[in-house]
Amino acid sequence: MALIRNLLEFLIRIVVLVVIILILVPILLFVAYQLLGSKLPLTPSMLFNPSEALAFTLAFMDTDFFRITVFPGFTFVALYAAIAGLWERKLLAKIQLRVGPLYAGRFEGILQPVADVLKLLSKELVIPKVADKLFFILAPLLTVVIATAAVAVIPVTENWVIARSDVGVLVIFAVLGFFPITALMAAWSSNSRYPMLGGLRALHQMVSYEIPLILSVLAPVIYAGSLNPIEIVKAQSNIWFILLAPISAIVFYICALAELERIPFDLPEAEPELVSGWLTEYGGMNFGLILGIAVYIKLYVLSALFTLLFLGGWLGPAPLPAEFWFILKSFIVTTLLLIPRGVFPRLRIDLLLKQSWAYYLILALLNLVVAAAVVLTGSNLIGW
Amino acid sequence: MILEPLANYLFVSVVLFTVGVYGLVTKKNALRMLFAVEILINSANLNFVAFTRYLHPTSVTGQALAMFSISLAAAEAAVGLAIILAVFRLRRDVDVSEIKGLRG
Amino acid sequence: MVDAVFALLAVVTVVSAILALEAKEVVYGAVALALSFVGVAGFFALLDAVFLAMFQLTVYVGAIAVLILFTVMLVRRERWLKTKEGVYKSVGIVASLAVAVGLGYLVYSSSITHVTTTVEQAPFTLIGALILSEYWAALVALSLVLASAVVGAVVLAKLERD
Repeated sequence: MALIRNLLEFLIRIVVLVVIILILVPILLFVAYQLLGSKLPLTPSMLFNPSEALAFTLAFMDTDFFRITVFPGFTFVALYAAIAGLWERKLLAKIQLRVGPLYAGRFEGILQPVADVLKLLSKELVIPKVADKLFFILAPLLTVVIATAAVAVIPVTENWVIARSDVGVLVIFAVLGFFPITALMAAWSSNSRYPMLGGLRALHQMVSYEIPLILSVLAPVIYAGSLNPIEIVKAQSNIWFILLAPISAIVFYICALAELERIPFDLPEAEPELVSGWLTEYGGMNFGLILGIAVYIKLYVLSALFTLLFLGGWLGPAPLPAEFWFILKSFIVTTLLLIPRGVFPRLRIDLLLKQSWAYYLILALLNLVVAAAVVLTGSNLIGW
Repeated sequence: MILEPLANYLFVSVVLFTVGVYGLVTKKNALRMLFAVEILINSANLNFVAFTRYLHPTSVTGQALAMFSISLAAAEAAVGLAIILAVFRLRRDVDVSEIKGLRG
Repeated sequence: MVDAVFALLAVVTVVSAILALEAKEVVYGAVALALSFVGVAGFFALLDAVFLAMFQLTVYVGAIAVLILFTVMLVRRERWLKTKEGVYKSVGIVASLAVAVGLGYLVYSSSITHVTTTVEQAPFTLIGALILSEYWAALVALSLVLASAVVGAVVLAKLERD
């Protein structure tokens, strides 16, 4: 972006911006009215009579648009990501006897995510001269798009779900399969040593841990007899699958750590060796898109998946709403995924790969066979 | 003339097949040839699924065959890429017209 | 609506398949190939085979495209930019056009162009039953092929170390 050299240029830009906004906003409002107004009780008199607006708000909360943009969709997930990011920094600080973020927001640094985003937004976007511009810009965007796509099939409760799919669990794994591609795109397009090494490590790690991850998911799927997350949760009304498939749950937890590149497995971005791995050349909001948003959305997706498959999803004692139970359980799983960063050292790459193929694969298969045997013999564990 | 849906899928499949054949004939880069083979396999899979959907929708035979084909494609890609890597290590090149070591 | 989605998918799939073969940079080609796989998965979804679409994404994009991209990055050399195709190019275009015309005429002239159906597609859960009952021999053969492929790939990869 060209620099702003003097006041005149600055004023011209402001005017252009205002004109664009003045043109765009009515168009967007018109489109929104055309799309939603026909289905919703939207009338101009609402502006003067707020009690009419209540019906509109309730009807609006029932639309797909609301689900995609607000509750189980992007706003909720972004908020979850921001809270998880702050929670991680405070939690690790407490574990390591530090204070962590303290000043932003006056109380325990509660506004630190906002400060972080403002800082990243105000930074210049640096694109290295030798970088492949198309992929360099595309990779962070694609990472966020892919991470968000997985959220679509995760039900918060039976009613709060964007896309009801009979193959929901498989959809999540299809989406997870895209991450190595964007990581490699980012690594290759940076055209630099450390990103390339980090990208190749990320690829090895993601590909070899995806297999035990999928196998560990299959045990609950066999118990429930469905790939639909809603059906899987319903099948857990008597007993949570973590009790029926404990080994699968542990394997899932470890492989989720590896998929997320979190600490015992954070070789792709090992700071002392590789500067910052495949993210080395990224700065500003490009960096923020990957690390600040995509990684934490992926964290949410895997925590939510663990909750749905092993912890009974939104099932919980009655007085509290189902949404609360789901978010509480997901947050506990998120916390469990965060804690190792404050405790463990980093693994060596060969040990990491050997563990995946030699131990986790076998353990996941073992529990899969047990699950199949239980279902075959017709044991009445789940209350069929 | 307006075609019924099945023919549309078949035409897409024909175009993909054409692209695959073109790649297989013209390219000398082993990797590009592998790309072409994958495109051919994809066009065949599309045919399997389209035929099952329109001619015999009460069964899933086409989908099962497509699953077999996809799994075989995975095996083929793994071996093919391993061969390409081994050849590249030996000869620093993946141009198939330059690899004449096995010629009798 | 479905027609628009179909047209879009067709354009994306075919254009990215051509790009996969013709892009100057092989890495671009590999990513275009992945996009083409996604397009075919979209067709599967349109054909009510959502399970197969997700299987295609998991295997083709999650495994094959990633492997290809990985290999491309390992064997990348400047020399690729000036690969000579010469006569083969015209021969290839003629041959593929002949194939296209022949197959296209075959589809066009057959009675298939009039086939349509209103029957619902059978559920995907039947795939498992079908594979394990009618095609069990193919399944066993496939697993042996996969096992030997893994062994072969490992041997080929270790060849150079010794």
